[in-house]
Amino acid sequence: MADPNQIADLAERLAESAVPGLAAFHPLIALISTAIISHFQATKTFPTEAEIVAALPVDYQKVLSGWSAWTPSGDGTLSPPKAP
Amino acid sequence: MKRLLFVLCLSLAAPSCTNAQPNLTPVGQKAFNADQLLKDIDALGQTARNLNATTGTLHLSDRDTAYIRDFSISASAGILAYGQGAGTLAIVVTSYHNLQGQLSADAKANDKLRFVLGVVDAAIAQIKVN
Repeated sequence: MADPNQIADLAERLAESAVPGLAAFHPLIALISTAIISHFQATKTFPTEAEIVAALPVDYQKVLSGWSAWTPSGDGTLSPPKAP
Repeated sequence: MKRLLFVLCLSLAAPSCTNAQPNLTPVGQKAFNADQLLKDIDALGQTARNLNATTGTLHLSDRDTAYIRDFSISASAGILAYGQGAGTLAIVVTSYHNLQGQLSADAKANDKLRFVLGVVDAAIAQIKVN
């Protein structure tokens, strides 16, 4: 698989040769384009239907386990439990 | 300009690629949409917990975080059922509207939280459209 940075660099050179003024934005544009290309490379193979169906309960459990591990910051905005 | 157009085109193409799932039956498409929404809600939860743990202007109060927790847990159950072919998204939409009414002004003004809420909002709208 091609390195996303290399693809982004190539695109960067093409763009800057076409529009010299873009060079001033080089770091920002390179960062964004590298991230986008990485995303495409990571997701270009679609999951099968069986994989999607199997992922549902796993991702559901992930939501639950994330919250079960949460400890409030203690900033006092949660109401204290009422006395019986 | 070409570079900007290149980046812009990729940006615009990204959402459509995630929606254009080839070779999926309607049941599979439903499961896919539900799973994407679950991932977005998980991201919302992660962001809320991180903001709750921070101090300063970005801090999300325990109360607001708890509202998001309640929404996440109830909505996720509904989304799971929806993705598995049982039930509708009604509970998710209702829970989301409730959450929007519950969150404090500070939470609504929090840029980071607003961003992930917008992602969830868009995902719900996408499923409703489909």
